Amino acid sequence: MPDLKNLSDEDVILALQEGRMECYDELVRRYKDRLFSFINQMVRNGQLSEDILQDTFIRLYQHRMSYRTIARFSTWIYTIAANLVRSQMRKLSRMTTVDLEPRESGERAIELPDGARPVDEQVAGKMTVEKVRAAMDLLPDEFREVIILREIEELSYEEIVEVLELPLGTVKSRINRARTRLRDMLAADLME
Amino acid sequence: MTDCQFVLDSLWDWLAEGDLHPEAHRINHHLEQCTNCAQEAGALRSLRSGLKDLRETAPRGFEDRLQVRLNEVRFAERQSTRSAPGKPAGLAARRINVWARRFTLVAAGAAAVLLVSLIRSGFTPLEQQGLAEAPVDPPARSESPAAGSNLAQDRVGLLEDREYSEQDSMASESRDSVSQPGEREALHRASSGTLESGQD
Repeated sequence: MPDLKNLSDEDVILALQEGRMECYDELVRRYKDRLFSFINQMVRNGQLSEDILQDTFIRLYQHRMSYRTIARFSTWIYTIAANLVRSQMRKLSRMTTVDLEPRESGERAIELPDGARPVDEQVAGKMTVEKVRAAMDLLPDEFREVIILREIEELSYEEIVEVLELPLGTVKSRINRARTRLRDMLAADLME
Repeated sequence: MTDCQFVLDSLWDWLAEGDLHPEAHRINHHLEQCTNCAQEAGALRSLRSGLKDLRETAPRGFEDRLQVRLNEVRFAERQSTRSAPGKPAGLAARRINVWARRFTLVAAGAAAVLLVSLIRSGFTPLEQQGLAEAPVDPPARSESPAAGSNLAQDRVGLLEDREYSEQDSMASESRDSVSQPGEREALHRASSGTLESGQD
């Protein structure tokens, strides 16, 4: 049997389907950082991101036999993660919008990104990772989702179509709009 | 569409794909001549670099914590597999019962069809044909002379074993040649007389 490191993702999961549990560890090793990056860019909460990442890999284990080679493994695992992220964000949005309990005087509400604030106020000055991150946080979820997959995770348009189960036109349109918004938000830093 | 507009629209993908971009030559050529577009290309390159810097790594100890959860999941799977055997067995038993019932019905139907076809072809039961007792009819044996001869030999053989073991071979030879009941009785009487005279 060849070294696992030399096998493609698809070959590794096929070997996992044959019962080689070390292949599971190999897939975790290959994807844990990429998926964590994607998840944490979306939910912006380290503990929650780890929970979602664990759920993703647990689902990989539980549904390992349902993987078919017609799809790329990377899109398959990103689809699992993206669905879990969306589900979690729906829960979070319900929790933040339905707040019926009156706050006590000393208690501070969690600060959520405020799209109404002037962009230059938030990302003014030299461009740093924090500024790019702040700009990303201002993007609507559906724009942030596609720009992460395209520009950070470097998935192709076709892969994003598969992961998000959206039409190609929608994906391209969202990516273009997200790029334009980011570009506008960071214009001051970019032109220095 | 002007060349500037085309290049500005293509910059993101050109930055991602480099020379593999289908319009790479055209874009490169334009950027060499257009300062504004070249400046924009630089800005976007910087932005892309900033986005790449957002990449993160999974927290330390993630794999150990995942392993703990995975062990729980696998344990739960094993438990459910252990508790499951009753289910498939019950299911199998139900299936067997269903098939047994179906087989019984099919067998009964086949028997009925066979009976009807036999009756239609003129078959009558053995009792009505008078054949039921035929195979065990005793007279058939006694009617045969050979059979009667064999029976006589058996009976005389018994007498020989019990009573004439010490007699000479002559009686035995004459007995072997006996085939009629009258001769057999005469021989028996002669043998008895010999025995009695011997005892005396």
